[in-house]
Amino acid sequence: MNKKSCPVCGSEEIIEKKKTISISEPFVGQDNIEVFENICYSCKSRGDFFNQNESLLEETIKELKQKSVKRILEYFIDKKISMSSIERALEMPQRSLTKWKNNSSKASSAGIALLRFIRLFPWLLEVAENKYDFKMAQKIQINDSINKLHTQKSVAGWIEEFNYGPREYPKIDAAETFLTVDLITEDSESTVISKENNIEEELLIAS
Amino acid sequence: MMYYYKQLKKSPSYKFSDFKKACRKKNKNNFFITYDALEDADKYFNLRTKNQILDFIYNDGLENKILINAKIWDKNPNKNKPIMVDSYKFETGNRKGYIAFMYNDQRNKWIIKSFKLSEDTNDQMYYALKDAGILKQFNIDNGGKI
Repeated sequence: MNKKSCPVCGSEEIIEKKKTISISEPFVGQDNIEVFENICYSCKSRGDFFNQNESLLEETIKELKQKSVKRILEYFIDKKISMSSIERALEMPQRSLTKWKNNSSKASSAGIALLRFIRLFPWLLEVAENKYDFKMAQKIQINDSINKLHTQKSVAGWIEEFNYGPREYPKIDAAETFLTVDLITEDSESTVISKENNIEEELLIAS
Repeated sequence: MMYYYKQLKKSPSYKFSDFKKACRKKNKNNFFITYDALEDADKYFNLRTKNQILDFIYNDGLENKILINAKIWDKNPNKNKPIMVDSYKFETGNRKGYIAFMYNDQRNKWIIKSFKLSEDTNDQMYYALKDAGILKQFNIDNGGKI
Protein backbone atom coordinates (compact mmCIF):
# COMPACT_ATOMS: atom_id res chain seq x y z
CA MET A 1 0.00 0.00 0.00
CA ASN A 2 1.31 3.42 -0.94
CA LYS A 3 1.48 5.64 2.12
CA LYS A 4 1.42 9.37 1.56
CA SER A 5 4.61 11.11 2.56
CA CYS A 6 6.18 14.54 2.55
CA PRO A 7 7.99 15.26 -0.73
CA VAL A 8 10.60 17.29 1.12
CA CYS A 9 11.73 15.08 3.99
CA GLY A 10 9.87 11.82 3.35
CA SER A 11 8.06 11.85 6.69
CA GLU A 12 4.63 10.26 6.85
CA GLU A 13 3.48 12.61 9.58
CA ILE A 14 1.50 14.83 7.31
CA ILE A 15 -1.96 16.30 7.46
CA GLU A 16 -4.21 17.40 4.67
CA LYS A 17 -6.72 20.18 4.97
CA LYS A 18 -8.70 22.40 2.68
CA LYS A 19 -8.40 26.12 2.55
CA THR A 20 -10.05 28.83 0.51
CA ILE A 21 -7.91 31.12 -1.58
CA SER A 22 -8.98 33.99 -3.76
CA ILE A 23 -7.76 34.48 -7.29
CA SER A 24 -8.15 37.87 -8.82
CA GLU A 25 -7.95 39.17 -12.35
CA PRO A 26 -7.98 42.79 -13.45
CA PHE A 27 -11.39 44.18 -14.45
CA VAL A 28 -13.34 41.17 -13.25
CA GLY A 29 -12.76 40.96 -9.51
CA GLN A 30 -11.93 37.74 -7.74
CA ASP A 31 -13.04 34.17 -7.42
CA ASN A 32 -12.71 31.99 -4.33
CA ILE A 33 -11.66 28.39 -4.71
CA GLU A 34 -11.03 25.59 -2.27
CA VAL A 35 -7.58 24.03 -2.49
CA PHE A 36 -5.74 21.30 -0.66
CA GLU A 37 -3.01 22.22 1.77
CA ASN A 38 -0.63 19.63 3.16
CA ILE A 39 1.53 20.26 6.19
CA CYS A 40 4.42 18.10 7.34
CA TYR A 41 4.88 17.85 11.11
CA SER A 42 8.53 16.86 10.80
CA CYS A 43 9.97 19.57 8.55
CA LYS A 44 7.11 22.10 8.78
CA SER A 45 6.83 22.25 4.99
CA ARG A 46 3.53 23.56 3.71
CA GLY A 47 2.17 23.10 0.21
CA ASP A 48 0.35 21.00 -2.33
CA PHE A 49 2.28 17.76 -1.84
CA PHE A 50 0.46 15.70 -4.45
CA ASN A 51 -0.22 18.21 -7.24
CA GLN A 52 -3.94 18.29 -6.57
CA ASN A 53 -4.47 22.02 -7.05
CA GLU A 54 -2.60 22.81 -10.25
CA SER A 55 -5.34 21.97 -12.74
CA LEU A 56 -8.05 23.69 -10.68
CA LEU A 57 -5.90 26.82 -10.41
CA GLU A 58 -5.15 26.91 -14.12
CA GLU A 59 -8.80 26.36 -15.01
CA THR A 60 -9.98 29.14 -12.67
CA ILE A 61 -7.41 31.60 -14.02
CA LYS A 62 -8.44 30.77 -17.58
CA GLU A 63 -12.12 31.29 -16.80
CA LEU A 64 -11.45 34.60 -15.04
CA LYS A 65 -9.40 35.78 -18.00
CA GLN A 66 -12.25 35.03 -20.40
CA LYS A 67 -14.65 36.83 -18.07
CA SER A 68 -12.34 39.83 -17.95
CA VAL A 69 -12.23 39.95 -21.77
CA LYS A 70 -16.03 39.98 -21.82
CA ARG A 71 -16.18 42.74 -19.18
CA ILE A 72 -13.66 44.91 -21.02
CA LEU A 73 -15.57 44.61 -24.29
CA GLU A 74 -18.85 45.37 -22.53
CA TYR A 75 -17.22 48.47 -21.08
CA PHE A 76 -16.33 49.70 -24.56
CA ILE A 77 -19.87 49.04 -25.79
CA ASP A 78 -21.22 51.03 -22.82
CA LYS A 79 -18.87 53.88 -23.73
CA LYS A 80 -20.21 53.77 -27.30
CA ILE A 81 -16.91 52.59 -28.73
CA SER A 82 -17.80 49.94 -31.27
CA MET A 83 -15.82 46.75 -31.55
CA SER A 84 -15.42 47.24 -35.30
CA SER A 85 -13.77 50.63 -34.70
CA ILE A 86 -11.33 49.04 -32.23
CA GLU A 87 -10.57 46.26 -34.70
CA ARG A 88 -10.02 48.84 -37.45
CA ALA A 89 -7.75 51.03 -35.29
CA LEU A 90 -5.67 48.09 -34.10
CA GLU A 91 -5.67 46.44 -37.53
CA MET A 92 -7.17 43.29 -36.15
CA PRO A 93 -9.22 40.88 -38.26
CA GLN A 94 -12.86 42.00 -38.29
CA ARG A 95 -15.21 40.27 -35.85
CA SER A 96 -12.37 38.83 -33.79
CA LEU A 97 -13.48 40.87 -30.75
CA THR A 98 -17.07 39.69 -31.19
CA LYS A 99 -15.82 36.14 -31.26
CA TRP A 100 -13.85 36.74 -28.06
CA LYS A 101 -16.90 38.26 -26.43
CA ASN A 102 -19.19 35.40 -27.43
CA ASN A 103 -16.62 32.79 -26.43
CA SER A 104 -16.67 31.32 -29.92
CA SER A 105 -12.89 31.76 -29.97
CA LYS A 106 -10.53 32.36 -27.08
CA ALA A 107 -8.34 35.44 -26.78
CA SER A 108 -4.63 34.76 -26.71
CA SER A 109 -2.48 36.04 -23.82
CA ALA A 110 -1.21 38.83 -26.08
CA GLY A 111 -4.79 39.72 -27.02
CA ILE A 112 -5.83 39.87 -23.37
CA ALA A 113 -2.85 42.09 -22.52
CA LEU A 114 -3.72 44.42 -25.42
CA LEU A 115 -7.35 44.67 -24.28
CA ARG A 116 -6.23 45.48 -20.75
CA PHE A 117 -3.99 48.27 -21.99
CA ILE A 118 -6.69 49.87 -24.09
CA ARG A 119 -9.16 49.52 -21.23
CA LEU A 120 -6.71 51.30 -18.91
CA PHE A 121 -5.62 53.88 -21.50
CA PRO A 122 -8.38 54.23 -24.11
CA TRP A 123 -6.37 57.02 -25.76
CA LEU A 124 -4.07 54.29 -27.08
CA LEU A 125 -6.79 53.65 -29.67
CA GLU A 126 -6.37 57.20 -30.89
CA VAL A 127 -2.61 56.65 -31.01
CA ALA A 128 -3.17 53.56 -33.16
CA GLU A 129 -5.55 55.48 -35.42
CA ASN A 130 -2.79 58.03 -35.98
CA LYS A 131 -0.48 55.24 -37.13
CA TYR A 132 1.60 55.31 -33.94
CA ASP A 133 3.14 58.67 -34.85
CA PHE A 134 5.36 59.58 -31.91
CA LYS A 135 4.57 63.31 -31.79
CA MET A 136 0.85 62.71 -32.13
CA ALA A 137 1.04 60.03 -29.48
CA GLN A 138 2.70 62.48 -27.08
CA LYS A 139 0.03 65.09 -27.78
CA ILE A 140 -2.78 62.62 -27.24
CA GLN A 141 -1.27 61.40 -23.99
CA ILE A 142 -0.67 64.91 -22.66
CA ASN A 143 -4.15 66.00 -23.69
CA ASP A 144 -5.62 63.07 -21.81
CA SER A 145 -3.52 63.83 -18.71
CA ILE A 146 -4.55 67.49 -18.76
CA ASN A 147 -8.21 66.56 -19.05
CA LYS A 148 -7.82 64.15 -16.14
CA LEU A 149 -6.05 66.75 -14.00
CA HIS A 150 -8.77 69.19 -14.83
CA THR A 151 -11.65 66.90 -13.95
CA GLN A 152 -10.08 65.38 -10.83
CA LYS A 153 -9.70 67.54 -7.78
CA SER A 154 -6.29 67.53 -6.18
CA VAL A 155 -5.78 66.73 -2.51
CA ALA A 156 -5.13 70.42 -1.87
CA GLY A 157 -8.44 71.13 -3.58
CA TRP A 158 -10.25 68.74 -1.27
CA ILE A 159 -8.70 70.41 1.80
CA GLU A 160 -9.58 73.85 0.50
CA GLU A 161 -13.12 72.75 -0.18
CA PHE A 162 -13.35 71.22 3.29
CA ASN A 163 -12.22 74.51 4.87
CA TYR A 164 -13.90 77.07 2.65
CA GLY A 165 -16.71 75.24 0.89
CA PRO A 166 -17.06 74.20 -2.76
CA ARG A 167 -15.29 76.24 -5.35
CA GLU A 168 -15.60 76.60 -9.12
CA TYR A 169 -12.65 75.26 -11.06
CA PRO A 170 -11.63 77.32 -14.10
CA LYS A 171 -11.99 75.46 -17.37
CA ILE A 172 -8.76 74.78 -19.23
CA ASP A 173 -8.81 74.62 -22.97
CA ALA A 174 -6.74 71.59 -23.83
CA ALA A 175 -6.09 72.98 -27.33
CA GLU A 176 -4.50 76.10 -25.81
CA THR A 177 -2.32 73.97 -23.60
CA PHE A 178 -1.24 72.07 -26.68
CA LEU A 179 0.15 75.27 -28.15
CA THR A 180 2.39 75.62 -25.11
CA VAL A 181 3.39 71.97 -25.35
CA ASP A 182 4.23 72.44 -29.01
CA LEU A 183 6.46 75.38 -28.12
CA ILE A 184 8.36 73.33 -25.60
CA THR A 185 8.70 70.14 -27.61
CA GLU A 186 9.31 71.57 -31.06
CA ASP A 187 11.52 74.54 -30.24
CA SER A 188 15.20 74.11 -29.76
CA GLU A 189 16.70 74.76 -26.34
CA SER A 190 18.15 78.13 -27.39
CA THR A 191 14.80 79.47 -28.64
CA VAL A 192 13.15 78.43 -25.41
CA ILE A 193 15.85 80.29 -23.46
CA SER A 194 15.44 83.39 -25.69
CA LYS A 195 11.68 83.25 -25.09
CA GLU A 196 12.28 83.08 -21.34
CA ASN A 197 14.55 86.15 -21.62
CA ASN A 198 11.86 88.00 -23.55
CA ILE A 199 9.34 87.23 -20.84
CA GLU A 200 11.78 88.49 -18.20
CA GLU A 201 12.30 91.72 -20.19
CA GLU A 202 8.55 92.17 -20.53
CA LEU A 203 8.13 91.67 -16.79
CA LEU A 204 10.85 94.29 -16.10
CA ILE A 205 9.13 96.80 -18.39
CA ALA A 206 5.78 96.09 -16.76
CA SER A 207 7.22 96.66 -13.28
CA MET B 1 23.10 14.26 -7.63
CA MET B 2 26.50 15.57 -6.88
CA TYR B 3 27.21 17.43 -3.67
CA TYR B 4 30.28 19.61 -3.69
CA TYR B 5 30.20 20.90 -0.12
CA LYS B 6 28.54 20.12 3.15
CA GLN B 7 29.04 23.40 4.98
CA LEU B 8 28.09 27.03 4.39
CA LYS B 9 29.98 27.91 1.24
CA LYS B 10 30.20 30.55 -1.39
CA SER B 11 30.17 27.81 -4.03
CA PRO B 12 27.00 26.11 -5.21
CA SER B 13 26.04 22.66 -3.98
CA TYR B 14 24.23 21.88 -7.23
CA LYS B 15 24.97 22.77 -10.82
CA PHE B 16 22.45 25.41 -11.79
CA SER B 17 22.17 23.81 -15.23
CA ASP B 18 20.95 20.59 -13.54
CA PHE B 19 18.31 22.58 -11.71
CA LYS B 20 17.28 24.36 -14.90
CA LYS B 21 17.08 21.16 -16.88
CA ALA B 22 14.90 19.65 -14.18
CA CYS B 23 12.39 22.45 -14.73
CA ARG B 24 11.32 20.92 -18.03
CA LYS B 25 7.60 20.22 -18.25
CA LYS B 26 8.06 16.48 -18.33
CA ASN B 27 9.94 16.62 -15.01
CA LYS B 28 7.40 18.74 -13.19
CA ASN B 29 6.38 15.87 -10.91
CA ASN B 30 9.94 15.89 -9.55
CA PHE B 31 9.38 19.36 -8.20
CA PHE B 32 7.79 20.63 -5.06
CA ILE B 33 7.22 24.33 -4.48
CA THR B 34 6.28 25.43 -0.97
CA TYR B 35 3.17 27.53 -0.48
CA ASP B 36 5.28 30.46 0.73
CA ALA B 37 7.29 30.39 -2.50
CA LEU B 38 4.13 30.03 -4.60
CA GLU B 39 2.44 32.94 -2.84
CA ASP B 40 5.47 35.21 -3.19
CA ALA B 41 6.00 34.27 -6.83
CA ASP B 42 2.40 35.26 -7.53
CA LYS B 43 2.58 38.43 -5.43
CA TYR B 44 5.87 39.79 -6.74
CA PHE B 45 6.42 38.20 -10.14
CA ASN B 46 2.94 37.40 -11.52
CA LEU B 47 3.84 33.72 -11.65
CA ARG B 48 0.69 32.07 -10.41
CA THR B 49 1.10 28.36 -10.88
CA LYS B 50 3.83 25.76 -10.50
CA ASN B 51 3.94 25.35 -14.29
CA GLN B 52 4.44 29.07 -14.80
CA ILE B 53 7.32 29.17 -12.31
CA LEU B 54 9.06 26.14 -13.82
CA ASP B 55 8.60 27.46 -17.38
CA PHE B 56 10.02 30.79 -16.29
CA ILE B 57 13.14 29.19 -14.82
CA TYR B 58 13.60 26.79 -17.73
CA ASN B 59 13.43 29.65 -20.22
CA ASP B 60 16.25 31.58 -18.52
CA GLY B 61 13.95 33.93 -16.65
CA LEU B 62 16.42 34.24 -13.78
CA GLU B 63 18.77 36.83 -15.27
CA ASN B 64 22.13 37.94 -13.87
CA LYS B 65 21.87 35.43 -11.07
CA ILE B 66 24.48 35.52 -8.34
CA LEU B 67 25.00 32.82 -5.75
CA ILE B 68 24.41 34.16 -2.26
CA ASN B 69 25.37 31.03 -0.37
CA ALA B 70 24.93 27.31 -0.02
CA LYS B 71 24.03 26.08 3.42
CA ILE B 72 22.65 23.06 5.21
CA TRP B 73 18.88 22.87 5.41
CA ASP B 74 18.34 23.50 9.10
CA LYS B 75 14.82 22.04 9.32
CA ASN B 76 15.87 18.66 8.03
CA PRO B 77 14.51 16.08 10.50
CA ASN B 78 17.09 13.55 9.34
CA LYS B 79 20.31 15.14 10.60
CA ASN B 80 22.40 12.19 9.41
CA LYS B 81 21.65 13.00 5.79
CA PRO B 82 22.21 16.71 5.40
CA ILE B 83 20.60 18.49 2.47
CA MET B 84 22.16 21.63 1.07
CA VAL B 85 20.15 24.69 0.09
CA ASP B 86 21.49 26.98 -2.63
CA SER B 87 20.26 30.55 -2.70
CA TYR B 88 20.69 32.99 -5.52
CA LYS B 89 19.66 36.53 -6.19
CA PHE B 90 18.52 37.33 -9.70
CA GLU B 91 16.98 40.03 -11.84
CA THR B 92 13.95 40.00 -14.05
CA GLY B 93 12.78 43.18 -15.70
CA ASN B 94 13.29 45.88 -13.12
CA ARG B 95 12.77 43.53 -10.19
CA LYS B 96 15.38 41.84 -8.11
CA GLY B 97 14.50 38.46 -6.74
CA TYR B 98 15.76 35.72 -4.47
CA ILE B 99 15.41 32.00 -4.97
CA ALA B 100 16.39 29.17 -2.66
CA PHE B 101 16.20 25.55 -3.71
CA MET B 102 17.46 22.14 -2.67
CA TYR B 103 17.47 18.55 -3.86
CA ASN B 104 16.43 15.54 -1.87
CA ASP B 105 18.19 12.63 -3.57
CA GLN B 106 16.36 10.04 -1.50
CA ARG B 107 13.01 11.27 -2.77
CA ASN B 108 14.41 12.38 -6.16
CA LYS B 109 12.74 15.75 -5.67
CA TRP B 110 13.79 19.31 -6.27
CA ILE B 111 12.29 21.69 -3.73
CA ILE B 112 11.90 25.42 -4.26
CA LYS B 113 11.86 26.79 -0.75
CA SER B 114 11.72 30.46 -1.52
CA PHE B 115 10.96 32.69 -4.49
CA LYS B 116 10.63 36.28 -3.37
CA LEU B 117 11.94 39.79 -3.76
CA SER B 118 15.60 40.21 -2.93
CA GLU B 119 16.32 41.95 0.36
CA ASP B 120 18.49 44.55 -1.36
CA THR B 121 15.75 45.28 -3.86
CA ASN B 122 15.51 48.88 -2.75
CA ASP B 123 19.07 49.81 -3.68
CA GLN B 124 17.80 52.43 -6.16
CA MET B 125 16.59 54.42 -3.20
CA TYR B 126 19.85 53.67 -1.39
CA TYR B 127 21.96 55.08 -4.25
CA ALA B 128 19.70 58.12 -4.59
CA LEU B 129 20.12 58.90 -0.89
CA LYS B 130 23.85 58.20 -1.11
CA ASP B 131 24.30 60.53 -4.10
CA ALA B 132 22.40 63.22 -2.27
CA GLY B 133 24.84 62.90 0.64
CA ILE B 134 22.04 62.15 3.09
CA LEU B 135 23.46 58.81 4.27
CA LYS B 136 26.83 60.37 5.05
CA GLN B 137 25.28 63.36 6.78
CA PHE B 138 23.28 61.18 9.16
CA ASN B 139 25.90 58.41 9.33
CA ILE B 140 23.44 55.70 8.30
CA ASP B 141 25.28 54.14 5.37
CA ASN B 142 24.81 50.37 5.78
CA GLY B 143 25.68 49.39 2.21
CA GLY B 144 22.10 49.19 1.02
CA LYS B 145 21.00 46.32 3.32
CA ILE B 146 17.52 46.50 4.75
